[in-house]
Amino acid sequence: MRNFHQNIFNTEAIVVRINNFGESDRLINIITPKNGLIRGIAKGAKKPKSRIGGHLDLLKFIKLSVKINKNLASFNQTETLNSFNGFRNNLSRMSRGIYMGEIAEKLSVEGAENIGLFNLLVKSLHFLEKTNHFELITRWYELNLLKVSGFSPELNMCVETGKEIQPGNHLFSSDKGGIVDINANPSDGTPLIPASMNTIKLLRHLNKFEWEDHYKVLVDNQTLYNSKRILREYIHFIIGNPIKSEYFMDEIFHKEKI
Amino acid sequence: MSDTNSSLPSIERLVEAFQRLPGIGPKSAQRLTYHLIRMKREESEELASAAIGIKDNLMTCKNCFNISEEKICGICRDENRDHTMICVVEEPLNVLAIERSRIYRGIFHVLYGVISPVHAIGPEDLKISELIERINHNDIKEIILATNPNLEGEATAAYIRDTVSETDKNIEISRLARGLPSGSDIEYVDDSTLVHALNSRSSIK
Ligand SMILES: [Zn+2]
Repeated sequence: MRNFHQNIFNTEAIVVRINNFGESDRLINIITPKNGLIRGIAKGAKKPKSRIGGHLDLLKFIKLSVKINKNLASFNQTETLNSFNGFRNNLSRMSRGIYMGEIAEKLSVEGAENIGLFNLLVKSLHFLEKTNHFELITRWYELNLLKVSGFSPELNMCVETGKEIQPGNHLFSSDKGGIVDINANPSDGTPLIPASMNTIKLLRHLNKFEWEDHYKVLVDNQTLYNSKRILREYIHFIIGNPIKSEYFMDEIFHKEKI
Repeated sequence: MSDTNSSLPSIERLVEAFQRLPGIGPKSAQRLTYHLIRMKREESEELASAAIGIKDNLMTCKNCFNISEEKICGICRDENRDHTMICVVEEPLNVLAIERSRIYRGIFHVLYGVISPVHAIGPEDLKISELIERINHNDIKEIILATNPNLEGEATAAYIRDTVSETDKNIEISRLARGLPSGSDIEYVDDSTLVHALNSRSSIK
């Protein structure tokens, strides 16, 4: 699994997980462009005078020096490139950002280059700082994360018959990774989720265009909910274990609606 | 230290017990155990009874949830303190740090953690509803949010700010952490920085 090219290197990174460790150290997971996920330790990071601690907060975009050891890497000489202060006071943004970080972590491999994934995460946190379309940006991010991880759902052809999907209401299969034509009738008992015509349109649109283009998209709540359900079930299927930050994100989402 | 010695059951048992403590690895656990072997019997007894004593005599204050030897802690019982001002902290150790600075004259509320979505710790796992309860039943004028200056501390502060704002009380809400070095832990912040952070707290309503 762990296949790092060098033992000591400098890299850009996003901090995705922090655990306190011992008296004053922190265990930290970062995502990097060329070395994927790295699990490491930052000695003395809890102390106010620490030169690295202040930079090692969740979702900070940092530059640091990494030393690969037998078990945990050690992190040194950190520098903050962007703290994304735009969402540090806003629960709607913070809860989505933390979720974005967690699913990126789950789809990252230790030591494996994934520049696309890294750039997507940095870019999405930038977008999240400014947008008020919290749900839409999250769907856009999920689709693009699936794309850069090689799990893009099939949205144009029926994954059962291979035929082109005609306009209308259809179904979605997480097992098979895409839209199932409503007339295809899969015989193997594959669990299917309804996918309305508007939902399929929305997913295709988000999958195809850069985020800037979406400010104009007006989406009704039913379509937003349907697309959320499809992507959530599909991501659960791919990742295989629960995504913990979903609960808090959902709680904040329900507060937003009131 | 030979392996033969450390595999004696009574030694093994203590080494393992030490290892469960925060900040103690296998080597420190072994060192402490061997130190205890050399200790006088009375010293060992004092250590053991002190360890049991904190279990028998300590409880959490019914009002603020700080560690206390009585149902209501000394801070909450102190009539000279300002009972309209609550400082909200993550852990009992943070109460200690703020008390050390000697500048704060209000009372406290201990949350026992922070909202940590990636660890599946949500608001319902903390003493937040108890805080709202206190606000609803007492004359509270100001809440100072002294959670740590990091993303999860900010999220917790923002959540409490929003929840307190939903009550119909007119309460000043301020944030302590602005002047503190980001990413640090209030437990380790020196007194003068804490005094400054308390004095320069800013409203976040
Ligand atoms: Zn008390």
